[in-house]
Amino acid sequence: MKSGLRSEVFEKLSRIAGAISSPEVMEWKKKGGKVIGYTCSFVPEELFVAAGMLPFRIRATGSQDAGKADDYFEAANVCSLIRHTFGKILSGEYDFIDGAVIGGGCDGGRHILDNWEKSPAKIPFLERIFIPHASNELTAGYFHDQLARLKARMEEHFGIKIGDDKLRDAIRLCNEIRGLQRELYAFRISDNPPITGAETVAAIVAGSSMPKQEYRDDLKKLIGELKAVVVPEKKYTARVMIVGPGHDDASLCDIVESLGGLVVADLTCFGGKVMFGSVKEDGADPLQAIADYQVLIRPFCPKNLGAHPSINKELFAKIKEFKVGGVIGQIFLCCDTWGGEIHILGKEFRAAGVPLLRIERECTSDSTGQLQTRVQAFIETISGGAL
Amino acid sequence: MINVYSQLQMQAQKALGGLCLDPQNASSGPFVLGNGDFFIEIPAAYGCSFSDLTLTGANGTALPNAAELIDKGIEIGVESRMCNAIKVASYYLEAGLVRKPDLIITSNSCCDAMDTLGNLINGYQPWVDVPKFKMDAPHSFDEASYKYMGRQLRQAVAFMEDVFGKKMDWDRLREVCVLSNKQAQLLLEFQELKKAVPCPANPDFSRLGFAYDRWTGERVSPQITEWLEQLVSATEARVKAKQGIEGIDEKVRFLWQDLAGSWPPGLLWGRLQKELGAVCIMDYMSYGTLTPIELSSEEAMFTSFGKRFLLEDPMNRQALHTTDLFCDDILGIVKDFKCDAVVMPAHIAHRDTNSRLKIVRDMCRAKGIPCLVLGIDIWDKRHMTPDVAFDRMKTFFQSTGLI
Amino acid sequence: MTLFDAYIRKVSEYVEEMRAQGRSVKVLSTPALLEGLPVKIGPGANPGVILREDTYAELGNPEAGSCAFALFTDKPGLIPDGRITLIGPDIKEAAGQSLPFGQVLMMGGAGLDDKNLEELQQPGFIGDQIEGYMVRSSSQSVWSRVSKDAAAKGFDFTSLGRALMALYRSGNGNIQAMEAVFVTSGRDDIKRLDDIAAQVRKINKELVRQAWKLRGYDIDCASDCSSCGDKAVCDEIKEVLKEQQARSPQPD
Repeated sequence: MKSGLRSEVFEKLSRIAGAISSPEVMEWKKKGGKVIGYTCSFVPEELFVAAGMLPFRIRATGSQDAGKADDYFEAANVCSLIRHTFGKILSGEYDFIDGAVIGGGCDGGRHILDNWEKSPAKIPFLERIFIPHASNELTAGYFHDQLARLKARMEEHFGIKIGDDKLRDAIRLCNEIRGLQRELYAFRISDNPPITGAETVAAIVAGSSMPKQEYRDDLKKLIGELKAVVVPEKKYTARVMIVGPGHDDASLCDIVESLGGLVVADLTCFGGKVMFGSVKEDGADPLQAIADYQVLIRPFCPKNLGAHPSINKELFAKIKEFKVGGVIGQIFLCCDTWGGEIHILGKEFRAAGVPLLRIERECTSDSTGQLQTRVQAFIETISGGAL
Repeated sequence: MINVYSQLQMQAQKALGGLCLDPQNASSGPFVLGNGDFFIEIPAAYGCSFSDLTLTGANGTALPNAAELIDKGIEIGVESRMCNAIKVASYYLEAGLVRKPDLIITSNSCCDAMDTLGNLINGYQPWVDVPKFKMDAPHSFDEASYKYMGRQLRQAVAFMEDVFGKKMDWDRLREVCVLSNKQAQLLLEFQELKKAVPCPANPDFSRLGFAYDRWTGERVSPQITEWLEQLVSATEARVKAKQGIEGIDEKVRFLWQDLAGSWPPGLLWGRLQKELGAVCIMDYMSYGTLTPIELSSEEAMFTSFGKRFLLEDPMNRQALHTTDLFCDDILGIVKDFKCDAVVMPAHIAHRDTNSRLKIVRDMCRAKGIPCLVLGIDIWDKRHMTPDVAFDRMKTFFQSTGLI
Repeated sequence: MTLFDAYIRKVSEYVEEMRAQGRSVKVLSTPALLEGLPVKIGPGANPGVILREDTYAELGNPEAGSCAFALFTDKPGLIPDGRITLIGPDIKEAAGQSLPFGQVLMMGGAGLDDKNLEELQQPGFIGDQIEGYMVRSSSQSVWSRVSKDAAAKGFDFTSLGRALMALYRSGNGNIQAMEAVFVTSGRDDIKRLDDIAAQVRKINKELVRQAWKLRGYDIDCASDCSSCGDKAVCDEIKEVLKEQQARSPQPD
């Protein structure tokens, strides 16, 4: 990620987001802390934080080769994000985690667990959790039961007790972080923000890769610095939004921003989705509050049959608020769910006069040559066309 | 002379023809549309039609103009590597070719592409005013999941009652369930007969019987019971006489662990039987594990609906759940039905199957079961023609010494 | 392997309970396993399919009720070797009927341990190894047929018990004593037996999980321990496995 931001704290967050393990994680472990990996933004971090653990979002950052994962997942027919993520697992880059929870979001994603179990990559604690595909009281209740089961399994395996008070503390901390992330995100409402899209991605991704309290403090510091910085006058040629899966890697933002554009917003699994709304802090059952948050409050995954109206509402609100001039809808090849969603959105964008560039690509950045040309043409088309 | 099997085949295929777009659009009465299987005893008892748009799309790929329909589906602009059955269904939908339903019931079963079709249906603007009910099919198969699924199916009934202003006739539902249980027993009876060596009748009748029973306009009707009785009786006679499939010298018995292609069965399986004596004893839609619907109470009934929906609907069983279950089924089928080999067609758009090939291959190797992975598009002959698949399977059977 | 000992006792209690409720309970004699057995046994002994019209009696159709499980212990003294108990009508009294069917096989042997779980717990594994007796596929329990020919030869539950004992013993040399209980008296009696079976299934599942754990994975339990009624069962399994681990050196 190319950054012009002069900030020690940002450099730290960027370094953490740009790699898998980090000195911060190793320091946490050295002090006896446990790290728990997870694969989907709908797996609630609050539960791990309440357990005194460091939640670590398993990702494929920097992968150029899925390696042996392609033995497990047929390369031509399974999404590259899944394959490259599992490649990282097989290569031992996640050996530092003490356990993992696999979110059953998509067909390929949930098979990470089945393949992990049978692979040589050992992990002492491996659980699955199914994300409901419909949003209502019954499905939220079912999700609650799964969380209760996961909590019990964690308590049993790690020999801990996760009480309601700890869950409430964790909810408060995660809500606070979401609030700070939204504040960071909102800088780009301005025409000339102190932080770019690529830099924001890095600052958000770091949040799921380091100790939470430390991240909260760093984020506060970064926001303080950004508020104080005098931003040199710069005119961006286009204000762009990115919609789609994944997006822990800022390469697409880099392309847009190297061409004079600015990525001002996104609705992706590592970006805008993770900071949406808050978990209710004063509910009688904190586990139910977490379940309600994931199932009822933020149903933004197109795997959810009722998600589209929420996605539509959130996107059009952001388009207006962030003065978006055009949207890049990115789909990873073989991602059926986002493939359908971008198609539905495409029709709605067309009707509303919002330019859309639809990109199907692999999750790695080795397709950036082709991408560059297409993004350049898109930016030239929408230049000066803010809504 | 037309033999009993030809008659049965014609009867079922005539009914299956109703799954194409035009007959569905012409059906009368309240029209419920879904993106996958619903629990068919419910609409059958309620007296409304139910159409699964995925099936309609899949049937489109069997039509003479399949290539054109698939290409039109591609032009719709969904993900380029999405299942072609779903692409055709999407084309039907977005070209305005599907009759406007009175109610939409969608669920995520049993794959991402069908889930996506559900989203396309739910998000289709001209149908914005159509009442919609959405169900979550969990990727788990335990008592809690059956109850959860059963409760959703019960809610679906209440939703239908609200939308149509007509109550479910619970006695009629019980009658339908009794009939359904009888039909399940007959399907399992035919399946049992396929254990005989040589296989007494074309094993594909399992798939045909399941499709006729569960998917057509005649679903759970007495004529299907009669059809199944005839199938079982005719096949029992052949077992007794120790006869194999007529005109076939059975040499190899294999499992095809995926859906059958939408090309006419004769193009691949029929040719394999005739030319090589290689008989596809079982495929993923044929394998029946149906248990009786419980009728002791309303809750027990819906819980058993939930179980059937999640675990005993063949494609849900194979696609929604763990690789362990998938592998256990393969081993069980190979052992019980005396299969010599496993063919993994690995339909290119089945993300779940394409995520478990190594485990299946490793398991087969460890158990000494010859296994071939084809990598075929079951809906589009242009990807791999049945002739190419035939040649590859022939080479496989030869190289493993099976023929 | 003491995990199932309590359940072996529960099966005995179940038999007594049935007797107390007035069911017909017969303890059948088994002079020898193979001598005089009216049907052949062994691989391929029943190579064909038993058709409906050739069926003398059907056992364990899911509509009638079905339950099957096996228990084993490393204390052979707990098992009265060769005892076959039948609760309900025998095969010869069931011409043309579909009987509910419960089958419990109990084995004792000093060398039996949880490694034998998969091999001993699969009720259908004898599939085609008893002449005139066919176990059907895709049932989660035992759903079987007895042919008219076999019945004419005198095949009954004594024969079935002896055949099963011979087959199990030939497949596993560690079995020193074996007992069988068959139930055909009614759906409710099967249901009651299935309550015990449900516990046994949970133990099996937990054993599989614990076996994975020994291989370095802690995976997949369907229940929430805090509210699970089987927590005591799991705790017991853990204790036994802990003892076993302490007794035997760990593999690398």
